[in-house]
Amino acid sequence: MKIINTICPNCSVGCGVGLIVKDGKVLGIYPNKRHPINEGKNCLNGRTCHKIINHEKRLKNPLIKKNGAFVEVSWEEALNYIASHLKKYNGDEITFIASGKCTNEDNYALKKLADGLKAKIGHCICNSPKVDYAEVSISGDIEEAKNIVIIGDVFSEHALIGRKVIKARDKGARITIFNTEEREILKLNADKFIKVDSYLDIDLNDFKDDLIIINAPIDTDKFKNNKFKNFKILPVAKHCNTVGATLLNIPALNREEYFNLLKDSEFLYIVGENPALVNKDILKDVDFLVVQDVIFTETADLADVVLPTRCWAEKDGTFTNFEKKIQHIKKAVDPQHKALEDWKIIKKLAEKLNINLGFESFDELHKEVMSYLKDLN
Amino acid sequence: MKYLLVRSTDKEILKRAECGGAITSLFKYLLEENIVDGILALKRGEDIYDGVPELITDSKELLNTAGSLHCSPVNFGKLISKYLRDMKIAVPTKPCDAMALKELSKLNQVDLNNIYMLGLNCGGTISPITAMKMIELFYNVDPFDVVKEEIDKGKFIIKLKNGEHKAIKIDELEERGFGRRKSCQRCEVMVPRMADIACGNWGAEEGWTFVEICSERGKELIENAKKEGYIEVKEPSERAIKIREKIENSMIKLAKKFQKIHLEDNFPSLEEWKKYWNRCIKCYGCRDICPLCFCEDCRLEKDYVDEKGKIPPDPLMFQGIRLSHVSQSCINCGQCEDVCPMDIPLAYIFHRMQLKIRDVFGYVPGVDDKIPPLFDFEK
Ligand SMILES: Cc1cc2nc3c(=O)[nH]c(=O)nc-3n(C[C@H](O)[C@H](O)[C@H](O)COP(=O)(O)OP(=O)(O)OC[C@H]3O[C@@H](n4cnc5c(N)ncnc54)[C@H](O)[C@@H]3O)c2cc1C
Ligand code: SF4
Ligand code: SF4
Ligand code: SF4
Ligand code: SF4
Repeated sequence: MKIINTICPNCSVGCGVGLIVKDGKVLGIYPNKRHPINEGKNCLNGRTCHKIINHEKRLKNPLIKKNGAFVEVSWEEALNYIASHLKKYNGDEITFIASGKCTNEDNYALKKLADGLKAKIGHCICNSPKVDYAEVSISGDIEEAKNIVIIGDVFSEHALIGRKVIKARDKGARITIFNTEEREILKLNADKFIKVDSYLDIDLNDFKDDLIIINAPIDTDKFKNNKFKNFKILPVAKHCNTVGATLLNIPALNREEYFNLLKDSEFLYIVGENPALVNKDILKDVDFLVVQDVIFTETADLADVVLPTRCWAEKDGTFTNFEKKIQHIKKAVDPQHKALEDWKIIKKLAEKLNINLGFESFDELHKEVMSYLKDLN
Repeated sequence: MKYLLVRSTDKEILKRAECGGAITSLFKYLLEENIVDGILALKRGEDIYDGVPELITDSKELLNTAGSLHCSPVNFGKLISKYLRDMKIAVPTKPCDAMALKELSKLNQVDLNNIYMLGLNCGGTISPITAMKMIELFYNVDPFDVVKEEIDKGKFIIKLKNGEHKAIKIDELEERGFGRRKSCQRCEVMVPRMADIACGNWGAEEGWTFVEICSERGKELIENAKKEGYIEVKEPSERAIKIREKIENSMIKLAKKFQKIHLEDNFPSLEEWKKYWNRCIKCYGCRDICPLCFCEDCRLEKDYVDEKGKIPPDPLMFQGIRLSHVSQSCINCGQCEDVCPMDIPLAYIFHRMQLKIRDVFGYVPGVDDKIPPLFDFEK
């Protein structure tokens, strides 16, 4: 039995979490009190993060839909099948969807493939605030803030940010919370709770010298009086690597943009996302659909080919958290089945298409991603 | 031979060990002689603030576990009762580890016949992030320049990369809200006599471990390991034994002083508790980490089926149920408080309640041989 310290994959806060590993299986989680963000404290989402590993809907083999039913096939067959179809489309008919749940390395590899094919690429942020991460300087010393305005509910959704808010309040900070729902935990922990029908009604002009934490899925460009001059803004994305995908220059799409792109695609390759959960019809005009995911989702059900990927506990890589801090996740166990890392699947597919992605191993890929991100800064 | 000085015969172990390497050598003996299947110990991870529990089955790896990590407040109780019940193991036990295991054995959650407890005297642990902040603030040192830390004569001493030492009195650090965890400040069991042996630096000569034999099995272990050449042994002086006793007693006095301050003088008011409960996000972290919470069929989840997702929960129900199940056995390990994402000072309540139960029933959990007084109360 040993404990592998890694990063929680369940939101953008990026808390540390230890996985208890015995005989090649993850049995539970263990606090990592040494982690600077959460000091060994995790919310319920974080504390159940290992459940995905043995999820009942876990994909085990590549699947091809033949005569309306899925058949298990080898990697070779699945990738050849995809490649042969992909060759029939022009670049502008092809779309790749990256994911805020994948590592920077995975998303970077996908972006390189998309660029190589001159195809479109984007990632969905419909559950997160839309901000220009490259522009916003994240100076979120929440604990030291004097006035904190929260748009959304960080207590239920990002409790380890909630903790920092509470610490600030204990030191005398004034907390104002806007939410579209009345929730007990928000009313009890705010000096002022305001229920709004739409977040866009909030007039940012009312705030001066405040720290504004936003985790509601809103487009900050659309705020009234959006100048971001009088205050600091701290967006908190939903997924563990939404910020990372955005900083890799993969276009961040709100729901409308996302659905328009999906509808506009002939050949669609979706990694780690599940749009059919929200709208089943959105994919009905897609000609050829590939879904690459950890579990069998509503979207996978509609696909022509489904590819099983490793979950975060089964691979190495990096996530970029809400503060733009790059953190390493660590492989704790091997998968119990044929799942491969996202980047590896993409590399194998690229090889079938005679596209050279320029890296041979994870280490080479990781180095390239790090230097790409550094050059951006 | 109740008291001994013990030293490893292995040079590598002596180099890495905290004192005389008694613990590491005894582990080596137990593993190499196949007396146990594995050793659950604490391995140093990234740096001195990083203690990672690991089950060691190859005696060569034991070297990486030698030495004390004062900034790693782990508790081994639950790791054993939940994941290692079916094995014969040995484990280094601070008093809170040993008390948890002893209490768990009375509740039929572990079989102590399968567990060698090699005790570590304990004056307290410091939370790793607190330690880093404190080293930056009061020692004016980059926490990552520290290569070794120790606690000696009431001071927290750090050794830097360049060989320099810096020391500050723990009292001073604690007055400013740093230093040892709050539970450790109140912890009044310094010498784990419920373990097989209790090891420490108090009363020891440089390079030796002071060992108090606490069980017949502990005595045999030392004799056999000596016979097989793993350790050498000598008698401590009368004076050393007296000094050790004196320090122990003064530490107990200090702990009682902290109990009074935390649990009476400065105990949060009802108003303050209300404020704390208002933050609870019902993450079950406190329950899941508590070494003594083990009901397979937890009432907390049953009573809440109807109000899943309702946060904060009603504290009378939520903490109330846990209090009624656990407080009599609470060993004040502080784990619940450590993992609470909302920084609710949970151990304050559980420890206080335990002390009240102790007043009435005279029951000291983790120390007494008798079973908890209210164990059958629900049946
Ligand atoms: C937090 C802490 C506080 C202590 N305070 C005192 C004190 O006040 N007075 C005193 O006389 N002695 C104290 N000790 C004991 C002393 O530091 C030595 O551990 C003891 O003398 C054994 O020395 P050794 O060379 O034989 O052990 P070693 O051969 O160095 O083996 C030490 C063992 O302790 C384990 N260990 C290290 N850190 C921890 C931890 N945080 N929790 C659980 N296990 C751990 C290691 O994995 C290893 O197996 C303390 C130890 C710790 C860990
Ligand atoms: S706050 Fe987010 S990162 Fe932290 S434990 Fe919860 S889900 Fe995981
Ligand atoms: S609770 Fe007691 S035994 Fe446990 S680490 Fe703190 S001082 Fe040591
Ligand atoms: S209630 Fe808290 S302090 Fe008491 S034994 Fe459980 S975890 Fe330890
Ligand atoms: S750990 Fe804290 S927040 Fe979580 S359930 Fe316990 S008291 Fe509530």
